[in-house]
This record gives sequence, structure tokens and C-alpha cells, in this order.
Amino acid sequence: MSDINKNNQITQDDFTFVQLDKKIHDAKFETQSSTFLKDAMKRFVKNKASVVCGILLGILAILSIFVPILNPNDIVTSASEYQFLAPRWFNKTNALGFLDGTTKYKNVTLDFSDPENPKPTGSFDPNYVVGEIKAEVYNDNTNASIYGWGGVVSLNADSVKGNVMFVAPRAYLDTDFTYDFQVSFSSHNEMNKYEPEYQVIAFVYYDYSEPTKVVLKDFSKDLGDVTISNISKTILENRPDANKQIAFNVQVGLELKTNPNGVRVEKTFPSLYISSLKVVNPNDSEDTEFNHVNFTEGNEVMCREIQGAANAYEVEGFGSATLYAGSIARGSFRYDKYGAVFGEVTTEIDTFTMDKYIKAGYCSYDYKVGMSSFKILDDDRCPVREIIEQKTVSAAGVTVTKLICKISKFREKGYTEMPKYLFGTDNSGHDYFKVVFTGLRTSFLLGVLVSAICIIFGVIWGAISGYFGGTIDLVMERFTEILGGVPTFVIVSLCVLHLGSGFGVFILSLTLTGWIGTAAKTRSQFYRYKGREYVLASRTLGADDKRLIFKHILPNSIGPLVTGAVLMIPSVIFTESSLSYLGIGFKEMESFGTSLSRAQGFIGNAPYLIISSSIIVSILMISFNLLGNGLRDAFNPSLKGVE
Amino acid sequence: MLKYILKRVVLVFFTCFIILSLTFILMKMIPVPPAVGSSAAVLAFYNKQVNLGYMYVVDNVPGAVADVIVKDGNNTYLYNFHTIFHQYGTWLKNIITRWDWGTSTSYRIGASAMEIISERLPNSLKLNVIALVISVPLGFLLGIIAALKKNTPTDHTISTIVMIFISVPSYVVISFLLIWLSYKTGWLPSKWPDNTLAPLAERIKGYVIPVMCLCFGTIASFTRYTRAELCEIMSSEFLLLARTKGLTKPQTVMRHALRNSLVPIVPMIIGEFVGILSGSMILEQIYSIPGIGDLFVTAISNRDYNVVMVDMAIYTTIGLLATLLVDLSYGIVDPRIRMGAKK
Repeated sequence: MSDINKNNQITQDDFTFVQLDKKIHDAKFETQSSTFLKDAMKRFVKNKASVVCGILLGILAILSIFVPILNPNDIVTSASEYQFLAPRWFNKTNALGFLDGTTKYKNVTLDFSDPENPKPTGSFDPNYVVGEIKAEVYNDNTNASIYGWGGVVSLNADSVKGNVMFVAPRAYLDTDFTYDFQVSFSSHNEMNKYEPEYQVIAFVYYDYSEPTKVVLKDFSKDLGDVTISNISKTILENRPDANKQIAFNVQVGLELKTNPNGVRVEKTFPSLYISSLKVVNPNDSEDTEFNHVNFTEGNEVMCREIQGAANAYEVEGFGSATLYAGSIARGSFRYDKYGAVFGEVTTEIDTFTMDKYIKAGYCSYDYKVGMSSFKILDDDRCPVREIIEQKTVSAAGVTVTKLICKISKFREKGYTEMPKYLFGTDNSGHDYFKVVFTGLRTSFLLGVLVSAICIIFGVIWGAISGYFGGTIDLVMERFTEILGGVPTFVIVSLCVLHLGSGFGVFILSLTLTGWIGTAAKTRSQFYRYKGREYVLASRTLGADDKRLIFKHILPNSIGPLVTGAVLMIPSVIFTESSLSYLGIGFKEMESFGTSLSRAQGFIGNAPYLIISSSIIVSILMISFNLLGNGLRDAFNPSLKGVE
Repeated sequence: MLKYILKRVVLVFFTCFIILSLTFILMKMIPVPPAVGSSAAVLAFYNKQVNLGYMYVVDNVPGAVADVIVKDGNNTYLYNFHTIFHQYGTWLKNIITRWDWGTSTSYRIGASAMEIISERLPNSLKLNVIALVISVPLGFLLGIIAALKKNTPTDHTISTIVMIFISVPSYVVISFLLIWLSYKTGWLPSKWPDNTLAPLAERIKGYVIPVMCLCFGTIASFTRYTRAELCEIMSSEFLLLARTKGLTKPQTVMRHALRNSLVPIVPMIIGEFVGILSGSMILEQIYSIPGIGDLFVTAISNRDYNVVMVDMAIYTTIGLLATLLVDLSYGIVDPRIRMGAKK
């Protein structure tokens, strides 16, 4: 600008007739001519949101190309031991459990034998519990657990047999010991005192597959605290021929005969408590194994009326025992599953494995010298962390050397540090980050190919239909109308049923109706421009139809078509993922939709899978939409800012 | 006008007819999977096909050729397929003469397809209507707020949220709602409660997630539409004239702007209704709602052609009729547009 201004400083002297070689003071027209596309680009760059979205899309595209290539994690073979690991971005666990790879577990039954230091039961390793266990004591009405205590066991009567049976405790009786059977009865309340008009039999069942019942003692009308000493002897002596093995199953229990005469008792069932019922081993005061199984120790067994007179005593089979109002401790805690599956374990390896590590240069070890000669050479890779014992095992004349050692499992898997799965792992133990982007690559490819085909075909169709008009247009319009009326879902499922669910079939089935939108848009653009003066001018100059279509009308209507092309890619990805959700998507290939729909099945126990893939798909869709809006504004400045 | 409407209606039925015929023929070209189960069930399946007019019994004589051979004890039954066009003729004849759309062959064997549909259609329609009733006023209201406060933080917030909800696919919304409202907090059921057994409160709770899921997208598109429409009208000349005449801003908005922006809303409602209906297929699948979308998926994967055909007939007819209604309602709502008028 300043340069021009300087040139424009024209003094009066300059207003003279010029000679041929004299300097003239006209400023040259210096702005550059701009093409349609350059102009659009300029406007597009001004729209910050669209540019950001374009960059985001670029990042997603680059990730979907390079993640499947560069990420070494295996996503083909299934490894269920690594399944459902939570996303892990940070090495240290944090209090919130935010992306640190810990999984929150709720309502895990606790071993509450030491209330100061409760331990989760099941497959949890207490060493990897992160932070405190929040324990709560529940009353559990249905699930009797060996970790429960207290409560009441209700007995349900059997109307057919007219008796009540209670089967507990059930255990392997050690025949080397002597066991006593102790029962003590009491009444529920003083008002409704139990009248001993019923028969109570202690019995033993040998093996539940073929039950043989042997009555141990009949204490009819003789209630109180009862002890049958040395029931093990009785059991052993009375066992039937079929059970003459060393170990056999027995069920020791009580049977309360409610109506010995077989007459249905109309009166209210009395409240009878069995204060305690146990099989004890007097020789062994600890008796840990039995205590564990003897659930009813310290519990009450109550004969309880079943509600409603009509179903009194109505139970299935021989009756059943249900625990109610029992107590059980359950805890919520965060659990470092990564540590549990990738941490150090003590295990036994053979010399073959050890030699492999030595050969690889991870560590050095001399079998003759023993444990003291063990040295880690490559700290990052050596799976063996410590040798605890070297032993020789001889079997069938062959002597084998075995090493008991601490193995670091992530190093064994080939990682140099605890792996970080950014999106966690899915049900097959695959790195979901890689799964998602591998799927996204397929979906992107599908989207781009389908859009390209649809645009090309749609433009040609729309151009012909719009340019020529008249009968041709009418026929072509009806055709698209009919084709467009068939739901995409139907077309795709028909194609899949006919041709299988390969990549090519999906391209075909999605293009079958996908071009209609583009065709309609092109047609309306052609209607708009074909009557313009410049077209007429070109026609009068003798241009043929081909030249008019491709040289004059189409370039002018390119704006909405480009926008449409950009917006078609996400719609194809969306359609594909929807179809996968409905169960007619890809079968052989991993696509974005298939990984999403698979994650849907684990929404309850592994929500991070669906959250991470949903975030990716949302970013994708929002970016595409904003980019499309930006392009539309760029190509049609009069529409700027219109949603 | 009447002639135009008649022409359009006839065209709708014609298009519908062609689509259904094409689908029928295409579907019949897929080989029927052999029936499995006890020999009695297999026999029942093929006899059903004979009753429907798709197959015929071949006499069991030496040298007879058959597509299907069923052995039941000592007896052998032979069946042959009619040609596809013969099957098509029979199917068409049954519909035209008796309004009989056939019976289900595998989804619920023996039940008439119409009966199955009529059982399931109310569930889908109920959800759609509830969603529409909630989203129309809300969307309209938000759109008005955004348009009246154009280019303020309020407008930007609303527009951003609208942008997000329009872009995000519906299954993402369902997933997040399920995780948040059902699995994390346990406030709502994670599955559609069984209609006949569940108490009323449970059933109402069961509606919340699907209705919310259907609403978000619909509200977003209504808001966007209303905002765009109202913004355009707010900057039009007749509104300026109204202001120069001496009307206050609220008066112009109430009397002129809103009334005119309503014009495209009515057709929009019809369009959205169809949109919701076809968009609820995934929702029905994920939330296991016994509606027609879920039925469609189940039927097509079990190749229960008759049920698929009725279901498709409903979808196609509703879709085409909606397009027709949208076109007609423009003319009814907006007197500036004349139907079929010659230029």
C-alpha cells in the first residue's frame, strides 16, 4: 500500500506530455487474480472451528493408518487372562482411580475373620488391592456363603412326605477322627411353646447321588440339648456296601417329622429353633476345615411357617433350607488388575526356558554353582527376577533340573515396562486402542470409497437428469424415488444374504442407494444454472452438451457437491456401525461398528470400552459436521453462519 | 389441488407396490434354509409353505424329482418350490383378495404376520409419540431463545449443544444414558420391563431412557431449524417495517416473526416422526423393546419373509406418506405456496 501511495505523490510538474521513454506515474493494478477454489480456501481458513475439526480428522486418519502398523500388541489370538483391563495412562495409581488402570469392584464378599484386615475372596490377590476396602455388613437372605455368619436357617416343610428335612453340614468326614453330633433346641418364644408332639430324627445320608438314609437316633418327644457322640463310628459301621471306599460323602442332618401319622396338620406350625447344630471333632480343637463348612455353627435353625395357610408345608422335593437374616461382609475397593496379571509370580521353570533367557543375554546363571551365580544382565527384559530354589526332579528314570523363581510377567510377554493400554482391553484381552483404530481404518476406507463412487455416479446421473430435463428427467426421477424408498437396512441385508458379508459387498450395498442424495443435489444445481446467460452464450458459440455440462455448469455447482462429499463419509461410517449394531455388519473383518457393538455387550462390567469408542465416534462425527459446515460457508459465502 | 393430491397418493401406492414387489422377489431369490428340528416340526414347516402357496407336494413315485425330501418314520414326503413369479402371484393375490399377508414361518410359527405386527406396532408408536410430544415444544422454545439472543453466550451454548447432539450417533447417547442412569446409579432399568408382569412404576421407569434417547436428537434438530428460520425472519424487511410502524420488539416477535417461523415447523414435525420411527431400530435392539424395529431385525435374520414384508410395508408406506404430507402441509400452512400450480 505504502508503495502505491508513494507513487501517487504526483506533483504538478508531472502533468506534462510524455515522451515515449519517459516514466509514467500510473500505478499498476497489483492485486492477484483469485480462482474460485482459492477464494473458498481463504474463507475456509478464517473459520477456526472448521480448521480445528479438519486437523482433528487428520489426526484420527493418521492414527488409524499408523496405530495398526506401529502398535506391536497382538489383537488376533485371544488371551482371556488379560481381559477387561481398565484404561491405564499413568504409572502411579491415584486416589480417584482416574485412568490409572485400577478397576473398582463393588460388593465383593469379604473374608471377615479378621475385621481389622478384611480380605477379598475369590480370585483377588490382596496384595494388589489399592487403598482401603470399604466393608459393609449385609443381611443376605438368599446366598449362603461360607464367609457368612449369624442368621437363621428356615426349614420348609414337605407336604407330601409330611416331614421336614434339613441337610447340613455337608463335608468330607475324615474317617480317622471321631466326630460328635450336637443339636440343641429351644423355642422361639415363651408364649408359643413348642409341644413335642413331633418326631425328630438325626440321620445320615451317604452320597447324594444314591441316597441311603440311616437313622442315627430318634429323639421323639425328647427335645433339649442332644449330643450323639462318635457319629463317625456309626457312619462307618452303617455305610451300605456301595459306599465301601475310604472317602465318601455324607450329609448329616436333622429330620423333623411334623405329622407322623401322615395327617396334614392344620394348626399353625410351631416355632422351633435349633439353637445350634454342628458336627464337631472333639480331638481337634482347631478343626478349621470343618468350621469353614459348618455354616450353621452358632446359627439358629427355625421351623417357620410358610405364608398362607393353603401352601403350608408346600415345598419342592424333600424340602429346602434357606438362610435368612444371615450376615455377610461385602466390600468395595479398587483393584490393580495390571499388577495382578502382569506382576511378579513365583513359579517353576525348566532349564530350556532358562537357557533361552541366558542365550538372549538377559541374565547369567551357572547350574553347578546354584542360586548365588544368578545375575541379571538386562534389567529391562529379563523375566527372571530372582531364583529361589534349584531342584532336581527324577521321574521315570530321567532327572530334570527345575528352577523355582520369581517371574515378572510383563517382561515374559516381551514388554520392558508395565504395559499401558490407553483404552483398556476387551473380552479377548486385546488392546482396545489398537482394535478401535484398526476398525476405524476399515471404516474410513469404506467411507472414502463409497463416497467416491456415490459422488461420481450421482453427479453423472444428476447431470444428465437435470441438464436434459423433460421425459428423461421424469423417468430418472421416478427411478430414484423408488430406489430411495427402500430402506438402506433392507438393501444391505439383502446384499449380505445373497453375497456374504465381505468388504466388496458392503461397498456395493451402500453405493446402491447412497448416490441418490448427490444425484438430487446435482440435479437441482443443474436446474439452477442451465438457464444462465453464460451457458446460453456458450451454446450460441456452438459448444456441445458435454462441454456445457463439464466445462460450464458443473464447475459452478461444485461447492455443494464438495460439501456433500465430505458429509457422506461420516454418514457411511454411521450406517456401517448402525448395521453392525443390528447384527448384519462385517463378519470377517474388524470395523469400527463391530468393535463398538461388541463393546456394547460389556457395557455393565467394562463401560470404559464403550466410552472410549463412543468418544472417538463422537469426535469423528462432530468434526465431520463442522468441517462440512465450514466448507459450505466457504463455497457459498451468502450462507455464512446459517446452521 | 384435489387432482394433485390424488395424483400424489396414487403415486405413493404405486411406488410402495414396486418397492414391496422388488423386495419380495429379491428375498425369494435367497435359498430358504432347510428346516431343523423334529421330523414333525420340519413337516409342519413345509406344510405351512405349501399352505402359503410357495411350495407344492410331489407324489412319491419312483423317479420323482424334489427340492426337499422329508422322512417321517416310514413315510417320505417330497416338496418342490414354485417358481418365484408363481410365489409372487400367490402372495399378491392373497393380499389383494383377502388382505392376507401370510403367516410367520419361523418367528412365531403359525401366527399371522398382521397379528404379530399389530402386537408390536403400539410399543413403537407410543415411544415415538411421547418423544415427539416432549421434543416439539422444547426444541421450539430453545430455538426461539437462541434466535432472540443471537450471538450471545446463551446462543453459543445452545448452538454448541445442538451441534453435538445432532452429530453424535443415537447409540452413543443410549450407551451413555445406560451407563449413567442404569449401571452406575441404578435408578432406571437397563432393559425394557416385561409389559404384563412389571408394576406400573417399573413400566414408567422403563420409558425414561428410550424416550430421552429419542428426544435428544429430535430436540436438537428442532432447535436448529427454529433458530435458523427465526433468525432469517428477524432480519427480514417486513419485520423492520413492523418496527418502523411503531410496534415494540416483543410485539413484532409475537405477532409477525413467530407466526411466520412456524410455517416450516409443521412439515418438520411430520418428517421428524418418520425419522424417529426409523431411527429407533437400534434403540429397540439395544434396549430390547418389543417394537417393529426389533421385529424387523429378528425376522430378517430368521428369514421370516412374511413378517419382513408387512414390516417393510409399514416403514415404506409411512415414509412415503410422510413425504406426501410434508409437501401438502407446506401448501396448507403457507398460503404463498400453491400446490401443482402451473407457472
